[in-house]
Amino acid sequence: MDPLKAAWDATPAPHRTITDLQGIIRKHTSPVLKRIRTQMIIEAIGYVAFLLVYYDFFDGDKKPFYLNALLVFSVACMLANNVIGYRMATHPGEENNLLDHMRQKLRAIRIYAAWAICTKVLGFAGVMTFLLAGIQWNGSKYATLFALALIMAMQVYANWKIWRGRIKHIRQTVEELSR
Amino acid sequence: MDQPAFLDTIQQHQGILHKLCRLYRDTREDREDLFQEMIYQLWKSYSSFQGHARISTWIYRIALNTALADFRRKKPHITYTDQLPELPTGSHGGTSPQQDQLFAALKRLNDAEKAIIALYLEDMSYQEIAEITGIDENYVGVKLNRIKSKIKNMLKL
Repeated sequence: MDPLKAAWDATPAPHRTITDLQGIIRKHTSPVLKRIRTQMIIEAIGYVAFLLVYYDFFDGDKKPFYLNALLVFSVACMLANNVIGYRMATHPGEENNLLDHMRQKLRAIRIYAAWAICTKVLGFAGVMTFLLAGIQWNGSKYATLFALALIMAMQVYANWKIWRGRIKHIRQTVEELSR
Repeated sequence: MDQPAFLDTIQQHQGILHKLCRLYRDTREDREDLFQEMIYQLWKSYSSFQGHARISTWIYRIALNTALADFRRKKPHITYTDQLPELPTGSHGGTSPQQDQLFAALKRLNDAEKAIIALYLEDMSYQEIAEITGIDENYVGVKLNRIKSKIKNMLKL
């Protein structure tokens, strides 16, 4: 392995000055967290804006209280989903070794994946229940509802595939470290 | 928190952080993001560093935890062939053909193997590798032998 070690030791690495490093920690964030936070803020603005206008735009005053409550709860769940995802990304797990950290991550990511997918489905169902309550049904409206449900199902399937891939990758690392 | 001491320590150990970034990420942009993420997580955890372990052990643990646990990372579709590509002679982006071949071989290992071999190449003892990775100390040698022969096969050493 000597040639390997020699090649490894001689690999040039960019040199960061103290000022460069100071600049990184002064930002109080990392590029990954910044991206997640930006996405979270944009989505949160959308959700809050929807909650502010739905009462007037979608006849909230003409619908029963439980439907209004269901809508607010559905949107709040989607908002909470983003916050939980962000919190999960900020935790470094410094007190654990790699195997324990990955096991912990695997548990957390399984729960979060289930929660994220359920929130999406329930959120969509909640919003649709509110919007469709009291509507006069006809053929074209059924077709629209079917198309929307199909799009939602495809989104959920794509989401599930992404989470399955992530879980599989972390599980493989845990298995490899435990074997 | 003692920021100057932290920055001094990181400056001394930044070489391994850059090597880990190169090992676990494929594009320059992703490596830069991971490097910044590692520095951020190290700084966040610095106050909880008790000094029970060597500072390098602590740095490697946080750096590896950060590199491996980012489940959102983008994975470009890469098809690995049985043979490593022939590399041109002479310097390539500041690295020698040997270094490029080494990293090409290391990148074909799985995440756990990459961590173990990187720690070995950094002259960590079996005990330290066990402490950082959580693998049983008696088992580190077995794993290392497997990884080494895998690399030798790839590099045809």
